[in-house]
Amino acid sequence: MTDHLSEAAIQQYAMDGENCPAWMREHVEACEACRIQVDNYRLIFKEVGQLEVPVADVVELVMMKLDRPRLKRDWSLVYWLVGTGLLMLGAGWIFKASLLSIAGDISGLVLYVVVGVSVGIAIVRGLGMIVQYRHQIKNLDLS
Amino acid sequence: MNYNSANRLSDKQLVERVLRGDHHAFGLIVKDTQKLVGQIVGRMISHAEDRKDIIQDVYLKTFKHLSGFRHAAKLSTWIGNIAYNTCINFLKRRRLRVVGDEGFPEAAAHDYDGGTEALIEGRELAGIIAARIEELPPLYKMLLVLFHQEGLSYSDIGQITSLPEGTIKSYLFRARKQLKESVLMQYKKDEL
Repeated sequence: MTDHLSEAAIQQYAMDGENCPAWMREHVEACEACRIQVDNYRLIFKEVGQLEVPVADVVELVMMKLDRPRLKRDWSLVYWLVGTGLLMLGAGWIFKASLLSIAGDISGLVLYVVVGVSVGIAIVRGLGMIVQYRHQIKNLDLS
Repeated sequence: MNYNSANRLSDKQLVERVLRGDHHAFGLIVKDTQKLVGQIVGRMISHAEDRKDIIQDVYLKTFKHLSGFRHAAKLSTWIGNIAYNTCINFLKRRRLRVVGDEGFPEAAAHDYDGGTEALIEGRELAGIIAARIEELPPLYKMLLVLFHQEGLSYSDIGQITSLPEGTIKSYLFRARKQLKESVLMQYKKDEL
């Protein structure tokens, strides 16, 4: 016998021999080489079906993660902005007289530029610190 | 807590309960799907610690996106799809191969020069197959166990992997052939 079944036909026969065409069944019955191939595949499929599942019970693991108490909403940014604002207002109130005299000596545009830049720098630096702080705290969360 | 799924609830009932805040119902979903997710993650990812992290990630994603589940597929295949995509993204990030890079083998008559060796069932063969399957590309391993161990249909596997049925069939063909050849080679070596 020279015309053996193709690899695909052998696989098909090994998985579902009963539904293969009659000529294929007759060939496998008559051809020892093809029969051995079919049997090898069947044995491999059987063993694959009995392989150990690589991951064990994860229910508790997942549920622990899910049930972990949620962190309270982080109000630190709001506190920081309100605190800084109040501090600046307080300082402005205390040094009101000095500030007014300085403001009287320089033009309105320069005053706006100086105050604007100062407030801008304070906000940017403050936000940077908060972002860095949050990042570090997140990295410390080893759970 | 005991996540006993003896009183079976439908996918829809389970999802509704979880969305109402019933965490126990989510535990039942995890219990019902952990074998499938374990097979997908376990075959795609080789490192045990990574597997654990990925499985947790899969279920956290499932929990987060459960309200978006439209019941178009079975809940298990939907979660399987999340598991598969999470694994694929992990492998891509690590630049690891997902499938083999060999060409599609011709469906020509097989080579009988040394291919007539008959395998004999036994512990030795089981060990060889368990070891040799690990050598296959991740996607091949996963497809083999989903089809031959979990008994999933091509359609279910298609929903999990988002691959066309024809592609799944050709990957499975290559995976079986590669595994058989690898097992036979090892089997012969051991006999010598």
